[in-house]
Amino acid sequence: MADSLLEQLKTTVGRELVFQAPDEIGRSAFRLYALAVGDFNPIYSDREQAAAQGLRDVMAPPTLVCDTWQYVDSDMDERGDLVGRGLFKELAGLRAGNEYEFFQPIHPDDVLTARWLVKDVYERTGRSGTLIFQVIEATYLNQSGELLARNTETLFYREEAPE
Amino acid sequence: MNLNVGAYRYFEDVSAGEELTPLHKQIDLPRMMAYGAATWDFIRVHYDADHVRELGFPGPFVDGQMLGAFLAQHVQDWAGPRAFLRKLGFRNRIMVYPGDSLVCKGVVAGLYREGDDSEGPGLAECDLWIENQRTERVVEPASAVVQLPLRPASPDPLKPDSFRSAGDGPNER
Repeated sequence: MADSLLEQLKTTVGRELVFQAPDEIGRSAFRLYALAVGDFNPIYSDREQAAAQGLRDVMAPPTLVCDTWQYVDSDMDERGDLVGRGLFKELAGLRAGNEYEFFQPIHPDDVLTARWLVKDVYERTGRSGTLIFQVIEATYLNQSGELLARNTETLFYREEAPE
Repeated sequence: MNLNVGAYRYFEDVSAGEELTPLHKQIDLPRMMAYGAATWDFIRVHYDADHVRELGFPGPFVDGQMLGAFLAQHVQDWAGPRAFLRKLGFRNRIMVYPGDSLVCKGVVAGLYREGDDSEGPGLAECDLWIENQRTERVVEPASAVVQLPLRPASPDPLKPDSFRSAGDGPNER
C-alpha cells in the first residue's frame, strides 16, 4: 500500500536545502520588485534619498528576500519551476501564511545564501475536513555570514479522499 | 520617478489605537506577472488560465506573498522612511484574483521600548488585515513590529538607530 500523503510529508521533516547566489542581488532587482508591488518608496531606488535617511545605499523592499528565488542558479522545468528549489510538492501545497523577521537592511552588493529547512508536519481536522500543515523555515545570510532575514512559511495540503 | 520619502513618524507621537493610513491596491494580471518575474517565480498558477482551470481554480491567482509585500508597504508608508520593519506575519484566508480591489488596514496595538528598557529602540506593534471589494478579509490575522525613530531630544545627543551608523540623525543634516 502506498504511503499516505501525511507519511510522505513526514519524511520531509529535517530536510535542508542550501542555496548560494552566484552574484550580488543588484539594485535593479529592487526596482523591479517595487514596480511589481507598486511601491515607489525612493529608499528602494534612489541612492541620494536613501543616504539622506542614513542608509549606505538603497535598500531592498523588505519582503523581497523572503519571496525571491533569485539565488537559485538553475534552469526551469515544464511547470515553470526552477529546477532543484523545492523541498515540497509546491502545486499540491497552498500557502497558509508567513512570518517574516528582518534583521538589517539588504543592499545591492549583498550576495545571498538561503537555507531552507522543513521544521514540522502535522495534521488538523476542522470544518473543511482534514488538512496537513508543513512548516518550513528559510534563513537568509549575506557574504559575511550576517543574518539578514528569516521566513517561516506554513503550507497546507488536503489528504486524498479514502478509497 | 521622482517621489518624496514622506514624513517621519516619531515613536513618541504614536498612540495605541491609532489607525494606519489605508493602502488601496487594484489587482491585475500584468502586475501579477511582474511579481512573478521580480521573484523569479514562473509557476503557471499565477498567469496561465488554462493550466490553473485544469487544477480546479477559476483562474490565475495572486501569490500569497504579494499580499505580504502590500502589508510591508502599508506599514512603511505610514511609519516613514526612518522606520525599520522588524517583523511581519500574515495568514492568507481567501484567494485573490485579477479584478479584485484590495485595501490594507491596520491599527496600532501596542508601543514598547525593546527589551523592556526605557532606553531601548521604540517599537510599534500593529494589527493588520486586507479586505477585498466584498469586504471579505482575504488576509487575517496579520501583524507587524516596526521600529520607529525617536524624537531628537536637544541638547542630548540623538540616539542612533540600531542598524545605522551614529551621528546620522535628521537634526544633523
